[in-house]
Amino acid sequence: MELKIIDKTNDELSLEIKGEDHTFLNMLKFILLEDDRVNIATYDIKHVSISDPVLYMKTEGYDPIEVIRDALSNMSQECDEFLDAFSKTVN
Amino acid sequence: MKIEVLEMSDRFAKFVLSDASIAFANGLRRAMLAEVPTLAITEVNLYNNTSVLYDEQLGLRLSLIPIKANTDELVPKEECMCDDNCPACEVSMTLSAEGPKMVYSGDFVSSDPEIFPSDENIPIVELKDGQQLFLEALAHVGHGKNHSRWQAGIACGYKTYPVVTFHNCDKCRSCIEACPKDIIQMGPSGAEIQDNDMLECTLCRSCADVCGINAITVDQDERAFIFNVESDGSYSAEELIQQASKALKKKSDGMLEVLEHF
Amino acid sequence: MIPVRCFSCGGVIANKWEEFKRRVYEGESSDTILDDLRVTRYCCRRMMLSHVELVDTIAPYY
Repeated sequence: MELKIIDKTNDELSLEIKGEDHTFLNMLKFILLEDDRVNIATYDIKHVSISDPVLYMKTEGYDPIEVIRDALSNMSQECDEFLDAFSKTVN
Repeated sequence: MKIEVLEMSDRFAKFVLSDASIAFANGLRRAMLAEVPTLAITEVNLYNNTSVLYDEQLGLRLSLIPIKANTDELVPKEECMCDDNCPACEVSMTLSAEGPKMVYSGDFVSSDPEIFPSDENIPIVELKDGQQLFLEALAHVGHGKNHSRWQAGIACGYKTYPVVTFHNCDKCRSCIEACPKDIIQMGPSGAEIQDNDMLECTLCRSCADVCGINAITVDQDERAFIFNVESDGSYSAEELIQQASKALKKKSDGMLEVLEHF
Repeated sequence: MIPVRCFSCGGVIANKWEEFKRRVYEGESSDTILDDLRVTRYCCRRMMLSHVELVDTIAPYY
């Protein structure tokens, strides 16, 4: 995955995520918004077929990269949890 | 997260996913349709084709045939370390036939015995007397978002779990007649819907509209989803669901890895 | 030739075509056959119902 930081301050971040779409960004946004440290989390895809999504977020003074890292490990955990629950019920 | 499987056959699956966020359910749905890596024919070397279909038509038909393979051992061509092609990113299959004969997907001879078309009975072209077909097809790994040939999940979808409640029913039976799915029954304390039948509810609200005393509330549980999954045969339905969640995990792990270096 | 996949949903339909054709010739009604083959969506059903085989029409001029 290729990332490009468009803008970053102490509590704000615009991040372009190459090659991804709603599948990933919507999940990430949702998990970020569940975090109390996050004030704003949203993403924008300028053109449906030629643009890469840009994630914009603003925190309550925390390092946004740190917050995204936590969100991503939550997301991996969610997937593991699903795989676990699924293989248990199927077998 | 809780899962209750309602149906699980080779190509079809139906399950209830509860205690999950709507974003996860939608991510999973989208991943099944577009992010699961599958193998499909992308290049064809035609040595002889005297059939009624011309080369491009034949190529399209071949590309859409689902192929069963263990994609954990294969990589997409762009990600492969090799210069041009290697067994890790490319699979070759040959087809040779002479008419009169109907050519089927099962006539392919694969270079790898583990990799073969998931259906043997897909008609490719009907050869008349004397017509010949001789070709080599090269299959590569790809994702459904790029072309329908790699689409492993077919019309996968979910709906939120319906919750219909009855209170102080006067047993007028009008909701029973109004329900287009015929799932409302008369119980001892008034109209009711059995748990199994609740899955059939489409949240059309016909029952609530027709009720004269507003005794029915139609609602949904937004953390529970009824999933309907269908596979094209390149995976079993069970594998498809697992592959989809693995694809999602790969994305988040991949981004986490990149962020470690920031 | 029957299209390999449904134009709308991408479901594989060609693997069910020959059985469908045979059973129609045997006089069964097409809706019960399609239900039997689990071709449930109307996008896939129209693929089967509206298909016309043209190979024999074209072949003499080829």
